[in-house]
Amino acid sequence: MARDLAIDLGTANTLVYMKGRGIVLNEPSVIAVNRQTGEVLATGREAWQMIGRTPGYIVAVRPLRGGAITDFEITERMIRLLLQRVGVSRFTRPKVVICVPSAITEVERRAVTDAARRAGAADAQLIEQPMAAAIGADLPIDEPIGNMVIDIGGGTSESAVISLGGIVALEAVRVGSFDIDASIQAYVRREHGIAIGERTAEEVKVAIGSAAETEDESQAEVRGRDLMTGLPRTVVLTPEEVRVAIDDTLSSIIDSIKRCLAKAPPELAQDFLVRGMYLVGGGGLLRGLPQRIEKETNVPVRMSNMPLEAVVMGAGHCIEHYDALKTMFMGARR
Amino acid sequence: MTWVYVLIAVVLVVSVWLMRGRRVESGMTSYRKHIDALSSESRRGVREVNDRQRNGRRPNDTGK
Ligand SMILES: Nc1ncnc2c1ncn2[C@@H]1O[C@H](COP(=O)(O)OP(=O)(O)O)[C@@H](O)[C@H]1O
Ligand SMILES: [Mg+2]
Repeated sequence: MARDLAIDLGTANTLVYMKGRGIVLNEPSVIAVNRQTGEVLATGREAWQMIGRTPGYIVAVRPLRGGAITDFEITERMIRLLLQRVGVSRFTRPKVVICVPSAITEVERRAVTDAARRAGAADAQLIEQPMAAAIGADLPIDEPIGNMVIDIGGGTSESAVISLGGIVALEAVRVGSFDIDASIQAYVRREHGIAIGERTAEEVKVAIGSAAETEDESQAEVRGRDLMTGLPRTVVLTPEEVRVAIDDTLSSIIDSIKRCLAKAPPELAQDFLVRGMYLVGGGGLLRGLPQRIEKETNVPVRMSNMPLEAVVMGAGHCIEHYDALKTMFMGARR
Repeated sequence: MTWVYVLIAVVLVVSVWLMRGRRVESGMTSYRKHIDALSSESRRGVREVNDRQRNGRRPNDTGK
């Protein structure tokens, strides 16, 4: 018997919720391909470990990295493998609800649903990511109240105002936590003359990254390749340096939050002052970020209790109540 | 033979009328259903399902 599925196809992480079962898969959205034969060599965590460490004939990529689908074929294969791994085949034919970044185009959406159908889904529907996030974060979106949710993922940041079961205002930018990693990489290259990898930059961000001064200001040793000599070298980074490095990226994320606030109708805007905005997504875990957003917008920020799972839990709710929530699927509207 | 046409016409008119009635009603009921399905009581279910799975099976196991 087929069990219906909800998928959070994130730029950084993919999660799958199975109807009646809960979250059955949670892994990086990475696929490793043999460049010469075109074969898929690994997906998920295994492929993630290959990033930046592959011999020339292998590429390990995040197909949704920038919140857009750059390679349709690879994305399709990733979706098919994903569905196969959770037991979908032409014989089981489950219904599938998929959350994608709201920034993706009509053509990209079609590519995602087609891939799911070709992999054996009887029906594949998309829902807007901030909507799923708000459901998963347990906001009272069924009421006539302004609910604001901010989802900072790897490649995208999306803010939305939701009231009476629908999106009132939405603002999505293709800037996210990957860009914070990239600014750390660029800073270390510029100021210390060493090249570091994407994964090392992410480790620095998680270890000592912050959006505002924190109590624990411990430093981190970073290893990379000296740009002049080409030899491995270690430098010490302070949290203050990292703050300088990532400031511009954080500002563009916060600016998009402000634009979303500005789009909200006044009746709902006043609710934010009392109820605050809810932060979800891995990017929101950066130390001091809630405080920084609060300071710049004058609106209280609350951290959702399951920031990394909120979207898939919301999508899971939609698969549990498929018929009642059909109207929410993208493309259901004309 | 005309009565056949009359009958078809009547059936058509009645069904169109019924469908319109249903559509008006379905707008309200489906909206109610949609809103009810988003209420926090109804959402508790998903979390319970997930908690049960978390306490029982390990993640990444598809339960097959
Ligand atoms: N503790 C942390 N501090 C800062 N960034 C974090 C932390 N944990 C995860 N992240 C970042 O969050 C991003 C992944 O968030 P996620 O919500 O899963 O993204 P997406 O929904 O786009 O797949 C990654 O870029 C990761 O580096
Ligand atoms: Mg996400």
